[in-house]
Amino acid sequence: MPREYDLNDDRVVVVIGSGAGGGTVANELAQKGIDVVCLEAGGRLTLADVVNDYRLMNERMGWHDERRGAGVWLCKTVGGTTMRWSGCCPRLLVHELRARSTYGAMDDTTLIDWPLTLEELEPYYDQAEAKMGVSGTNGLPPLAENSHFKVLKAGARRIGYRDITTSHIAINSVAYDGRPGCQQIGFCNAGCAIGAKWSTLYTEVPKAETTGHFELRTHAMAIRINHDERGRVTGVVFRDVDGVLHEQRARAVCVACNVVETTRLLLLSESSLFPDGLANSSGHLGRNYMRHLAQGVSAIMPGPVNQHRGTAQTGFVRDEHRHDPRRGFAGGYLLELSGQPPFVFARKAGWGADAQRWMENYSHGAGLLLCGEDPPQASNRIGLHPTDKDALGLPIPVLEYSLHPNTKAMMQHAVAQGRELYSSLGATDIRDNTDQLGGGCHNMGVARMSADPSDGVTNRWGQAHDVPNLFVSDGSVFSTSGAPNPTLTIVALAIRQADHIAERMTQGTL
Amino acid sequence: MASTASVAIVATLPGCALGTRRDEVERRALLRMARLLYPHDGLDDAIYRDVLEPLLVRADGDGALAGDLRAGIEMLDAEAGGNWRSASPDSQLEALKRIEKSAFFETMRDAVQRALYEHPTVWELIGYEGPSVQYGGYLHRGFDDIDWLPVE
Repeated sequence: MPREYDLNDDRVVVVIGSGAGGGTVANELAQKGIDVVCLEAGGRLTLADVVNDYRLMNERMGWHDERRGAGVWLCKTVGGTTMRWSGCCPRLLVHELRARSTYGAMDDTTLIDWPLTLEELEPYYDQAEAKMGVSGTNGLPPLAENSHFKVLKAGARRIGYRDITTSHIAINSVAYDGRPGCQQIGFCNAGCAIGAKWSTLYTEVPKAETTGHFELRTHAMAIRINHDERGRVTGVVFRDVDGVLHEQRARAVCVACNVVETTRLLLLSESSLFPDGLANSSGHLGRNYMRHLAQGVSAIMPGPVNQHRGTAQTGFVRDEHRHDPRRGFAGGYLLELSGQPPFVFARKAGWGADAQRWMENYSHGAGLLLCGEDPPQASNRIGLHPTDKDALGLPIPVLEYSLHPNTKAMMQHAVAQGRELYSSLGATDIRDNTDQLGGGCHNMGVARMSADPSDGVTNRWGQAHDVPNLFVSDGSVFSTSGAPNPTLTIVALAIRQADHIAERMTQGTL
Repeated sequence: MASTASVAIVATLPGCALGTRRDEVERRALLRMARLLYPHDGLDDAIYRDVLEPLLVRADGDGALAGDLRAGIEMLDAEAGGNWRSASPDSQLEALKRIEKSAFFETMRDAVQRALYEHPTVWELIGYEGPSVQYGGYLHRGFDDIDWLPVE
């Protein structure tokens, strides 16, 4: 039964955002009987609204408010970016949680270790995989291999790779949890029209609603978090669909707006007590922004591939996901399948005769995405424009981002391997676009967890060092990026955080 | 496409008849440029016209964009030493190459690229089968039918 809570009800936990982090922490709390109000800036689609049309779906679910600097790919809709994601769910490896200890000091980075170990995280990875129906876990078979994946696999084997899998994808390989098995539709990034890919829109959110401890407010964009004179948060000011401002009182607040908007909200919540933004006494809020090595390699193969038929990111190669400094860089990367519709494949087309050749061979096209660790740098940061405002009258986020030399060295290696993989199968036209800044899908690090409060914004529970009843529940808390796509770790951390919040409430300390 | 309203206004203003001719000249130049950017012999001009339409509609309501497009064509004319559109195909390409770093070139490339490869007629030409949910996806329509990979 969906509940409705009074704006003055200060017993509720307010969760801001309904994506991987927000949707999960909200449902986990509600399942434990804790009353939750979830504020979502976007609207609520149904599966009937999800169609095989990238442009239309971008209009329906994309976050289009103005931004400056490096581009990002966010969603403003119930489900957040779990609507648009590809479903890749690799786990972080033990060395990635100990990046500073493993890699040593790296120039021009703010590298730290995570304030928690893989051992502590593992039970939550297990729970997250069960929740999401991750292929190859919990008795679920790996995803079916489509033609495009078979090309990746054959090329990978030719160049000596052995760890090649269609497991670890949060797309149902068979019917699971009331959702159907994948039908190889091929529009994963426009939203899964049958709900085979995990999204909080049709899992966490409706499950929370059945508890009787959860209210979802759509078109409710949080613009400020208020606090009392002791520095405890007391409520969240949000703008409703008509532009009217309200304040929802709160016992605790979980912020999960996806890195850019999480930063903006905390910066907008500045006060005389927190002059540099809420929970920012360390000065780290908005800094250490990470977005992965993210580069594509595509090729025209000797025979038809039909990369559009079926799951876009059916699997990956994990052999390079390790730390081996002999390769000339710290950390590792994954080679992930990347099925692209023509308008995306065209980004590597160039123009003129080059473009004509490339695009008229689309049916023979294959592609992969290189996803690798990107070390934190203080200069990679998200801030607010000092004077320019967006259509809602809010300061425009500015994203400053440049690749670290380690990421560039990794890119060089990864792109060479990707090219080798396709040429081993006889591809002659192989293209990458390393001149462009990749990424923008994976956003991490602006409110990172740190053992030392002067090193980050949150502690090992994602709880703000400065504000005991304020939590960050999205990828912002990542201490380092690791190589894996971040969603599985976001979900695992959110489940863990909900356990912690519930425990603290039982103890009477929250 | 110039709306009938703007044509009507132009007709009533002396001196603007030249402006409409100029618009048509520009339109043809942009059309030629669209084809040179993504030259598919199997597509007729009507497709490229469709593809340019959203950009031109945007320019109708956006003076700055309209000015940029006009300045872009002038830049091409200058590079071609006169009238770019009546230059030889090789000279047209060379002129384009010389301006490929310009904002105008980027505006045109981005607009044409996205719209062209979202066009169902173009999908047919390049072998993209498009939306599939209404057919039950590709699960029973060849999602794994590759037959040319080397056997290990």
